[in-house]
Amino acid sequence: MMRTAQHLSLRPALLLQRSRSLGLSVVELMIGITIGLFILAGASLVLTTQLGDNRRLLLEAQVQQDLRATADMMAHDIRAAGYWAHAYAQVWPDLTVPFPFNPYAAMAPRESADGVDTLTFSRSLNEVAFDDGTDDDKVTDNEVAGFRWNKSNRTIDVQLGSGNWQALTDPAVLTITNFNMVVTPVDLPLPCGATCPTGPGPAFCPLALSARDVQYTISVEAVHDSSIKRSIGNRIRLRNEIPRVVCPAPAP
Amino acid sequence: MMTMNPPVAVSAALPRPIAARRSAPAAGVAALTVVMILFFVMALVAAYTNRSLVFEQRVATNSYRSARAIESAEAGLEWTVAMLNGGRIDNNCKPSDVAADSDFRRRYLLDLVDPSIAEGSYGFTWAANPPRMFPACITRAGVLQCICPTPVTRNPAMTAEADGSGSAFRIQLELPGSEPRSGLTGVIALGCANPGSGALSCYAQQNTDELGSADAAARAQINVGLLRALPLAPVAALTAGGTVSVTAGSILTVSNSSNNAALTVHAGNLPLPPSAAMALTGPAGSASDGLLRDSNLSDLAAAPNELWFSSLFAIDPVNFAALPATRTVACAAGGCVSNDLTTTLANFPRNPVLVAGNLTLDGGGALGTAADPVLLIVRGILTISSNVTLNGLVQADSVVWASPATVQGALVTTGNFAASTNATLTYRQDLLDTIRLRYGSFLRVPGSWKQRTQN
Repeated sequence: MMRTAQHLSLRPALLLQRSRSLGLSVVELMIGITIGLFILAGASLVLTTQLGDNRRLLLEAQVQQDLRATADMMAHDIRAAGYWAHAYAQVWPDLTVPFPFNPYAAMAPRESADGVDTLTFSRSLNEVAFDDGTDDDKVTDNEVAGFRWNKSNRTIDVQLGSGNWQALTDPAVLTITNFNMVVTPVDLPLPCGATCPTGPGPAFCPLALSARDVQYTISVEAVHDSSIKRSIGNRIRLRNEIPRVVCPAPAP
Repeated sequence: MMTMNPPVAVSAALPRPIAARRSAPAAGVAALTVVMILFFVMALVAAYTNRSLVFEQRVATNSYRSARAIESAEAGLEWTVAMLNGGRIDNNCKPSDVAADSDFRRRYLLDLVDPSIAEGSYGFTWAANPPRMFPACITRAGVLQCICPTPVTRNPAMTAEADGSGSAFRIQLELPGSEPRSGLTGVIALGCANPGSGALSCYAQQNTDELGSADAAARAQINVGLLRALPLAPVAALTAGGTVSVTAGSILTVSNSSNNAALTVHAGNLPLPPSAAMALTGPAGSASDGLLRDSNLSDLAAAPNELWFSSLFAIDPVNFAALPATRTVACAAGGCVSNDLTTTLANFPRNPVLVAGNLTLDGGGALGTAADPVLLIVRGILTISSNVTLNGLVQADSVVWASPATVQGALVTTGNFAASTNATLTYRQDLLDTIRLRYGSFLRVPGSWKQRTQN
């Protein structure tokens, strides 16, 4: 009885061992393939998303970079508008000749239907090395600079010398969807001894220092993905104020 | 019953678990290795996909450094304008009350008096004591730490933060348009995002385009011009918009040896003091005693809107007080006395001093020197009650002369001059020229700002 019982209890184990070494059953294969496909599908999805995200990130970085560089260049150039190498001529001027005024004072913003789209200004460039004394006190063509929104090309253009406009942004990467610029001049009254004909005292002082603020916003969109939209804004106080004569209107 | 004997079945089933346990360690190490490799690959993929983020951060850092450098340069320009209008400073540019310390202006700007050069021009002190000096500052935790070198102490102590943080700027003074010009100097500020270290640091005392360990640098330049406190000196030793009176028995002694301004007493109203009460001396060779009664003066004194003040100083009194170089001395209800002026005159030897009220000069000695005359403006009554010597120009609403004092320079009063004792006034062209050409506020010249790319 003992042997029989022992023999019987061993048989299932032996059967099992034998079936494992027989290879993959169809069911197992099917399950394996299904799981594999699931994993592959998941991995493909992750990879696709990853590649898409990566492309988008690169595009965003490129747009951001172009936009930032443009805004920085504009800030850098506009800030120095009105620089005059002979500005010192205004200090202790020779009163036998007319008071010298800054020839680079003019700043011309051009209004369009969408607001100011072009800004032109000038500054001294006619200098030899460190010698500021070589300036000719005239706005020559190469001293004219500016920025504009080129609507047909959908770029921001920079003016390098009078009439010589070049694209600052790459139209193959981004398009300028909106450009908004506001120029705010503020006349700061100057204390002085002279008076306007309208009345005596400091309130009628004829000289004012014209400070100018330029504020701009650029909105862009990526050429290859219109869902990527960015905008950048900047407000610049021009460092070179312009002294000018402002007399209040005579009282009626 | 025997077939259900459990111990036999258990003993027969034992070998398999033991075998499985033996093979387990080898399989675990392989799995761990594979998992670790997979994790590493995942980390690499994650880092790779985030490279644009790293790039963006670098761009942002560069932008931040560039902005810091430009702002430091701007701060350097503003700091220089402020320092040019200040008083005595020590080698770390802090206010000083040591008489041996000069002010920033005379530490670096040299008053040129060569008649072949434009009047009121500045040169630089290192023309005689090379090499050039560069005032510089570091901002540490929002606090400026500066050096203002002198020919004696060319490298004052300056320590940067150990971690190299903080912005810095170095100031270079230049001649505008490369030649000396009246009342002008050029300022170039080199701004750095961090101070750097050693000989190529942002605060090093040498002119170099190399910036060593400074991360970002920017240069900006301006011209600063002197807005003169006294554009035209008075032509008389004593100018009064009202009457000049001397009590009987006292003598008013006034002399003017200047050929340019030959007046001794310039009075707006009659009566003039009797000849016996005055001893007037005009320039050598002149027959005139220089006494002039001028009704234009009394008209000017009576005109509204402080026209007298504006005519003398070319600016109204409120704005004159607000100019950066002007030092205003506030007075108690009873007015100011000599002691209230002592500190201001000692620490600001060449600044215009405005006394906001009556002033009684009750202390002896001298106010101002021949080298550093005073420009004293009293917005009230000036009472002289001690034997004081005034070197320079004094303007007051009216003058009560009660002690035998002396004026070397000129005295101007909008109202009356009343002497009850002897008074001695001597017109000094040299002192008045110093005030006329060197006193006032340095201000930024509009239109002179630009960024430079090199020294």
